[in-house]
Amino acid sequence: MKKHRHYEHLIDEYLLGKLKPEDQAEFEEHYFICPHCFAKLDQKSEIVQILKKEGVLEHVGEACEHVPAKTPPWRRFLRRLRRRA
Amino acid sequence: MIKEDTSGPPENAVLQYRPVISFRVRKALGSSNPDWEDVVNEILTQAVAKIKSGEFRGDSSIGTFLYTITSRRIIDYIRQKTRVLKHAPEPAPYPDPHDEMEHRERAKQVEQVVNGLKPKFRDVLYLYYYKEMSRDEVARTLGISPRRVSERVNYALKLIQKAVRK
Repeated sequence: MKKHRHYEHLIDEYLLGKLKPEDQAEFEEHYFICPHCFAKLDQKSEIVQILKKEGVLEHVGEACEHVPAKTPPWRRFLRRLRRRA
Repeated sequence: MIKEDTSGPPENAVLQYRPVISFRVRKALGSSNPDWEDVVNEILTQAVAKIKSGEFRGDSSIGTFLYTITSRRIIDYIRQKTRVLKHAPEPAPYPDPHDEMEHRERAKQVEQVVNGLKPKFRDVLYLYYYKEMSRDEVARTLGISPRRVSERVNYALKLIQKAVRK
């Protein structure tokens, strides 16, 4: 069996949907039998979802000098509306 | 590995897996899909029935057995829905208001922590989670090593998890 460390490295990619189908299946089978990896996955899951979807990091991109493309104002306005709803 | 309670009825051993089955089903179906709880209950019922009928002989662990049942049920559910959606689109599901409120509260806590981070940590989170760049891409963009990217991501996530757990 591969070590926890190997699977822990896959958590982010799994949550971001970046794993290849075969790696995804292997990781899913693993966390069914490994409470340690499942606990880590469960802890991270909602935070990653918030960071990815809730606009928490959106304004960071505007200040981040390494990111050339800015979010258009209309999209920022829509995000704000969605967060208030 | 989960310590399997094999002394009592099969229900006890199977019910220990409810959280992991729920996680897998919600991830596959979408957490706002109102059907996820029914699907989880169906999986648990099916697993108990298979154990009682002797179909599960213990060649693999219960975890692997439940993983297989869960994956099959998810595929069946998606197939059924695809068939239904071909004929009549369903209305959008309504999220549970209580869950929604808790989620929004946690999103606020996360936002507060993110706003309090030094820019070097915020930038890494932004590129890695929001822009969905790989660690190597983030490293190249910021001119740091991939290892440093991991360190910054892990540090920021630890702070966020600490705040959310409070």
